[in-house]
Amino acid sequence: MMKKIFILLLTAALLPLGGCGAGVQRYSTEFGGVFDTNIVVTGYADSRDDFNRYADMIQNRFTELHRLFDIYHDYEGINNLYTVNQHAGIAPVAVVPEVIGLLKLAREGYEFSGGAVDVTMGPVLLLWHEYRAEGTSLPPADALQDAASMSGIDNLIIDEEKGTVFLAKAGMSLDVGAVAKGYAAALAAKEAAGMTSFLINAGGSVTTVGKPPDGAETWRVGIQDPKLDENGTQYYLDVVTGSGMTVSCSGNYQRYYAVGGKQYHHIIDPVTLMPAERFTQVAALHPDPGLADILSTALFILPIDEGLALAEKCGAEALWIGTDGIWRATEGYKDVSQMYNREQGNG
Amino acid sequence: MDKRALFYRRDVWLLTGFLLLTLLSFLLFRLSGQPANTAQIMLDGQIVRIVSLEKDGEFALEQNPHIRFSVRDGAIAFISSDCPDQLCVHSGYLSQPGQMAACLPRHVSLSVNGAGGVDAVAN
Repeated sequence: MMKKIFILLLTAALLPLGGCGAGVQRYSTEFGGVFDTNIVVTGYADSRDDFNRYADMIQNRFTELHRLFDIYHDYEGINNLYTVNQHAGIAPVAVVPEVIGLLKLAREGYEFSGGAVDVTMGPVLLLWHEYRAEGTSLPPADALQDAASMSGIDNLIIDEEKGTVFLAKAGMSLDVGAVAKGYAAALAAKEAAGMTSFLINAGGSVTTVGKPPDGAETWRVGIQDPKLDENGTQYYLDVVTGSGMTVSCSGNYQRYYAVGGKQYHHIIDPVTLMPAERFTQVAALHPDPGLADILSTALFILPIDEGLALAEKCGAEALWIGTDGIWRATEGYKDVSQMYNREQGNG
Repeated sequence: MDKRALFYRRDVWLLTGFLLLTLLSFLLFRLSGQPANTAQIMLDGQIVRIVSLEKDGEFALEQNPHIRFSVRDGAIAFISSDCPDQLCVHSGYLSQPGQMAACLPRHVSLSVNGAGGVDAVAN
């Protein structure tokens, strides 16, 4: 009798090993139509239905924020950045806290980047956007200067008490491309707080939360090499590991056009009013998606010494790839990078 | 048989049998999630085609024949599209799980499935 019980107990103890063994599984979904890009959500949940619930909340939040931060369209019944731009030099516009939050972050970004990231550069960026779309010539210097004269962060008036934003000078307009997607990802990630482990790839900016529970210690994020190899194959130039951080990249290959055999990309240096020319690519890593987004642009524009100081001040890690092909990185980046020391011989 | 023994030889075989069965089902489960690489093509957020990367060839997307793909040496790429920017075509051949490319104006995306590789690619 004891023996039978013993065998029964032993079998019962062992059976779960052969069972499905999966409490949570990994799911993925993607959607477009927001922030001019595709968003992929990958996460671990108890079921597809469970995962879809979170993914839907994330999608809804992104859609809502896309409308609020849109500078090209207005939407009935809401005041968004298009509305704010339309009222430049006319009157303050009442907006929801998310818009206030975005612009406050943008203003902080201007301050700590020494002006490298400036959301009031709307008129300059619009000019480049138009010439890039037309594709045959560069915007003339005097047109760029005129457009630049309409920028000025001091004329961005945020009244938190009243919940209004006012562009004090006529002709001013905001372009939040350097910060909106990251800030939106930060807010959207909060919608899925019930999922302990997931990532959001918002058009190339990757935000990771928690750790993958299936044995991998951390998420692995590849950094795409902008150049294809001689066979036309895409590969990563680096892989970084980490959890609870966002990897944001800026590069000279994302949007560009060619004039006279030279390429002109979309990240404009507010000082020269021309595309920044120091680096081909920068990857910025930070726990906050909004900051990672701002920093990837700031570090792409600033010279390396100022960039290293800024990264340290913000608690960010970063990789710079110069137009000379040379890699530079913060010390902490080297700790999470698979390729850095191999590429550079511990540079 | 010695009736006072806790285990008869027959019981040992029975137990061993159970243990082996357990081990086998465990292994089968672990191994079943590792197929050869495939890629998936999505249109408007829905998977419309799953492609094996084992066989070379070219094909057009049924829903939009202007968009064509090529599979070559275990990798897949957009090779033509009717979009203005051609960013999809410039994304090159993808071979690693986690790699993706997209034709945003046409709402088409391409990604490589499978374990290993990276969880996402930043660009």
